[in-house]
Amino acid sequence: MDIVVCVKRVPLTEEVDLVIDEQKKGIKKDQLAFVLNDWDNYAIEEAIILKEKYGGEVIAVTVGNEDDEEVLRRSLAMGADRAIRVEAGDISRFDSFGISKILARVVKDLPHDLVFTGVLADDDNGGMVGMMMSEELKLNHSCMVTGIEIEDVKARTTSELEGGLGEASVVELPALITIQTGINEPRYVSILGIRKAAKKELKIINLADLGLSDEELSPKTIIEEVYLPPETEGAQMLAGDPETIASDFIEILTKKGVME
Amino acid sequence: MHHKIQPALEHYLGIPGFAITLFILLAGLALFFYIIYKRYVLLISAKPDLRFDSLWRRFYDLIIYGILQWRQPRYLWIGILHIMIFWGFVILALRSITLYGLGIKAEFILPFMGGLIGELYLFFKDIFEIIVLFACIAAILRRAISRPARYEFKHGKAHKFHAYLVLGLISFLMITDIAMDGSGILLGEKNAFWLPAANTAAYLFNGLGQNTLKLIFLWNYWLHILTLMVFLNYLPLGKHFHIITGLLNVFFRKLKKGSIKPPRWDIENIEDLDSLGVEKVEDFTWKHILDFYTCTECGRCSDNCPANTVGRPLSPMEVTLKVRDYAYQSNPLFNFKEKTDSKDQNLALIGKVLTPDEIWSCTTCGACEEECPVFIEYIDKMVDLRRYMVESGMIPKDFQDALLRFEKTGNPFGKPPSKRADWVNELDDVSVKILEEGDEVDVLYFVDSYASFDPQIQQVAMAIVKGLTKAEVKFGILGPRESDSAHQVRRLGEEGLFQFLVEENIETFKTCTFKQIVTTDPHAFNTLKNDYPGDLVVKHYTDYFLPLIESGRLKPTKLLDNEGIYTYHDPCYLGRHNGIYEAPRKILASIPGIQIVEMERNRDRSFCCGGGDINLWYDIEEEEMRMGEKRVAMAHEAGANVIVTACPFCLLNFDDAIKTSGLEGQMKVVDLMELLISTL
Amino acid sequence: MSEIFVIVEHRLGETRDITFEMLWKAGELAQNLSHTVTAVILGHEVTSLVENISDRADKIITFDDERLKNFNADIYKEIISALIEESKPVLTLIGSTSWGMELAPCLSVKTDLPLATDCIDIIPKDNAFIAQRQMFNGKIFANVSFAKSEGCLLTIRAGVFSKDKIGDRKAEIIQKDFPAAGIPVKKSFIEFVETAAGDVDITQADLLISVGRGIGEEENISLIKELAEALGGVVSCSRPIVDKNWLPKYLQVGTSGKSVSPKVYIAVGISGAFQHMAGTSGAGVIIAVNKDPKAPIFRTADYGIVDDLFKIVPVLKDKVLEVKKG
Repeated sequence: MDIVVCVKRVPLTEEVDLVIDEQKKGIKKDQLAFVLNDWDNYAIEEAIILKEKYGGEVIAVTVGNEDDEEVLRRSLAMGADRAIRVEAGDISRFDSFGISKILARVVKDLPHDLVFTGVLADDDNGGMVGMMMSEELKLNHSCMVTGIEIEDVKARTTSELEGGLGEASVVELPALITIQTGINEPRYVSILGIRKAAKKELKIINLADLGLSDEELSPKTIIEEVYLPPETEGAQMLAGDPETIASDFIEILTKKGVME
Repeated sequence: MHHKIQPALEHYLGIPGFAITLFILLAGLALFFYIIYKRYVLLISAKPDLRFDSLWRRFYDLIIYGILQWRQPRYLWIGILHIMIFWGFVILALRSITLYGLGIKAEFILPFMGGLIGELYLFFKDIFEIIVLFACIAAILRRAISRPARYEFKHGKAHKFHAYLVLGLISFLMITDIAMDGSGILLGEKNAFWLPAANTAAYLFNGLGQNTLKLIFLWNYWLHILTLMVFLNYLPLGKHFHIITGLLNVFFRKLKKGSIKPPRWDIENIEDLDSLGVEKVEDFTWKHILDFYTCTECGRCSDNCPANTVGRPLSPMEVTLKVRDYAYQSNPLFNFKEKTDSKDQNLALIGKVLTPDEIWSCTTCGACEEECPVFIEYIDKMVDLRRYMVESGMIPKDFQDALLRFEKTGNPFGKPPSKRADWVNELDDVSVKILEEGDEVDVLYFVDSYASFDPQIQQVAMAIVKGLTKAEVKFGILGPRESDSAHQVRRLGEEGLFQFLVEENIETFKTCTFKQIVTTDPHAFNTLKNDYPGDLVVKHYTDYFLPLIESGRLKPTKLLDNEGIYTYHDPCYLGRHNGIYEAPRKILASIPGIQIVEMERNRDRSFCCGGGDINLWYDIEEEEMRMGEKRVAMAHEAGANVIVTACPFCLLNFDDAIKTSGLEGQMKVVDLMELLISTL
Repeated sequence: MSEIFVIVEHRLGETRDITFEMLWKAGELAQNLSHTVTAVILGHEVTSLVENISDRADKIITFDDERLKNFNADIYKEIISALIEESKPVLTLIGSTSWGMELAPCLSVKTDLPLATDCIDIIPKDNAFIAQRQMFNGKIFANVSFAKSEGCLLTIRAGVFSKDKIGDRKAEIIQKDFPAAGIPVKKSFIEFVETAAGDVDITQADLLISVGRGIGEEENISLIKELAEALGGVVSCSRPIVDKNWLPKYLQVGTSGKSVSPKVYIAVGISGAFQHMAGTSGAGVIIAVNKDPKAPIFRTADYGIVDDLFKIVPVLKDKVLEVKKG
């Protein structure tokens, strides 16, 4: 059971107030700490669980610069066998289209019964790379998966739908699966564990060697501008009689899309 | 006393007495040394430990705690009983040797035991035989009738039979010796009216014929030396092994309180280790194995353990005994097969013998180690077990997240380091210097994470800073360059992360000059003082501020409201681990008009608030009530309505506990520094 | 004049709300830019689905076939890409739902058209569109434009646009046949599954109704449970509730509990202590109900209701039930 997992290093933004950079196309990252994308953490763990059960090799892949190797080392510490980093210069010039083409090109040459990506990334919240890759590679796929069972050359997957509902399907291998959070409990890797993982293979591939044309990689979407959401000064109090308050309450919930 | 009857010279079925004695002696000792050898083999297959330092101190402690049994009277009456039995043993040891001698060579006496010394000895021996006999009977009755709760086990049945057996054996030894002496007197030995026990026996035997008396004498003799040899061999099989190992264990005690042992004493770089922490019994150090041998099953540790008290699955005594029994099982005395590594057993040490929750239940408060009369250690063992669990990923998700936040942001909240000193901006009239590279101050105020980010504890930091300013101390804080002291991280078992954070802090310390470090938090104080390399001069704020008050630089003058009845709660890491009990009390007492009461459990018997360690990120489900609630109830019982504490975690835990106990409005908790500032 | 495609999402015979929302927005854009709205329905026995939207689209293209009984991204992709190739719509809208997230990226690669996901608004600009979306879990807004192409794909976030009808339309219904050659199916649908009720994972919930000490007694928690049930949300709580063993530990939000990121977090009777609110930093919108106007929670919450929870919560619940019924 050979599995390739695509991982991404993202900023840790939970407790932080984000600041827009000068060009207004992104956020200031110098004061931020970086971690492995939460979804990818679950994806690696799922891959390791399957490897422990069925044998095979787990390869972690990322597109990025030297700092991004941190997430590869964490993946290796969790149990991946080897890792690959694609050195592609300034990756902010690529959008999901380009990244998925790069990753697909790398995966094509690797042994893969399964390819895992996370459903989303904590930074751009795009949710596109996984499925785009499956189309590039002409792989079968299953999306938003919260459970995988291997049956011979097939995988029985449970996909998360809305409102507590799920969908069980069977997909033939090889397949690309986007992993949803909560599918497992990712194991902890200690600092010592990560240091020891440095002994495992981490290969660097240059983008130029992949033979992708500039046209293929040119972005289809362009970020024109980023900005902070409109300010709120403390809570906006809902006023009036109970009926009015209740109506306002319903309106807020509806706007947020939770009044199914 | 010279006996007319010489057992050595008697004959039984043609076998001379001395031959029988020799046989009993040699066979018994052979078996005994074999057993000891097996126990020793397990001990040396364990990991190294450095216990041969500070020899003078160790000898001194041996006398105080070993010979003088200093800790025994913490449980007064049984403590006294035990001291009596212990001294009885010491004194009667000479007698035992003499008896064996008599069995081999007629008229045997030990050198310099002839004459007055000998007679004096016999007197003391006689008195102690009575004392020991009565002590043993009292102990038996106490066990049977009042059934002290701490002898019970949480899981499984306690080894009560062994306790009764040994008490019985000791009593039997006393009785046989007294019977010998008694019959000896009647058989025409020298008159010895100053031997009350012997004479009492003689009184009882009065009227029996010479032959009967001779039989009584001889049979009691043989029974005595046989029983003694059986007793000797029985010792290493159970809790009475402590009779042999106890003094050794005291000698090898842990001298550096508060610190946590490194993963390995012999290997410095943890990256060179194949595995970290304790997975199997042989991963413990030899001193820890000796600890397992030495447990007397007295239950004093568990009786004082806060985790045990609130219903968590942890009972320190049972941890020791379970591992001991497991170790004995894996290293049997008589095994004609290859000795197997304890890991190959079907039971996993962590998982089956000890449960993860059991190990996570410990708050590292140190109450157990403070009580144990034979100085068994627990905290290092718990941390070593946790180290293994961390490395193998056996930790709850909430811990993982907390550890990740420590790693990425240097604080457990995940808040950006750049905001670590933001609390300083809330102070209007006080300016706080944030140290840059090359700065020089007298005092480096180590704020640590909770005081930097938690709004309630920020108040304590502000109070400290106000105090330092008022006392005109030249101080500064590291601000964004400060990383968490990593006290909790180490005790959680993440040694790699601990070393990483320590390195960061040490490097930052090097960039400025200061004479001493003052901390908000006893945890930071403890780890900077006891765990960090380099012998830093560190003080907790209570220790720092007391001289300032005593010298008059800070004067508490404002009277407090008369409604308050204050009690001081000793935080574990200020009190037990570092011996600072009086400084905070003196500070409190310096406040004019203050009414103070002491809780029943105070100073080294203080009861943990629930912790500034694991408790923050993981709750043990089996708990019946929170430790904080228990302690707040104790304060309430003592008649106090204000709890004063000098630790941020105690403050938070008690604040919570007061609310959940429904005592809001009746009780409150306040930090000592905040209280002090309000009176300046 | 071009077409705006709206891919209709339906499940178990019901047209999902996202469809109506997309049709509303498409209708608005169509009105302002002189385009037409074409709805695309792939399904089996689609009559009622067609009826539901017949006044909201100019054209409805239907594929009615047994092979379309259950959603399959591969089949949808083949059919829709052919339609796009044929009609060259200026925009294709798909719901940003589980199914939409599987379909849209594949479709984008197949048609070589740009894709922006989880959009919360569509802004016409020059002869093209700007998609407004969020990044960093809602902390940042971004305006995205598209490289020159013959159309673009957008997935639309649920609950952003109105479900109302816009304009007055009568759809022309065009029935098409399932491709004669058939479409290879590599993923087979087995069944729908319900998530287990017992072990609730509050970190995955979109709507949390959280209860704190203000509730007073254990039996009063039923009030909160009723509100949650009416809303279809999940009950969570603050630490004191767990301490008292009124609710299980896995429902606790806060530093020593769980970090949650629901779209809406309703905090009832919670004071807003630092350790609790730290667990809600991922929440989209926080609505707090507390009788104390000075409660710290009102500093962090987005909306506040200062009232006795025992008075207002039943009113809220009744209103919710009323709205859901109607």
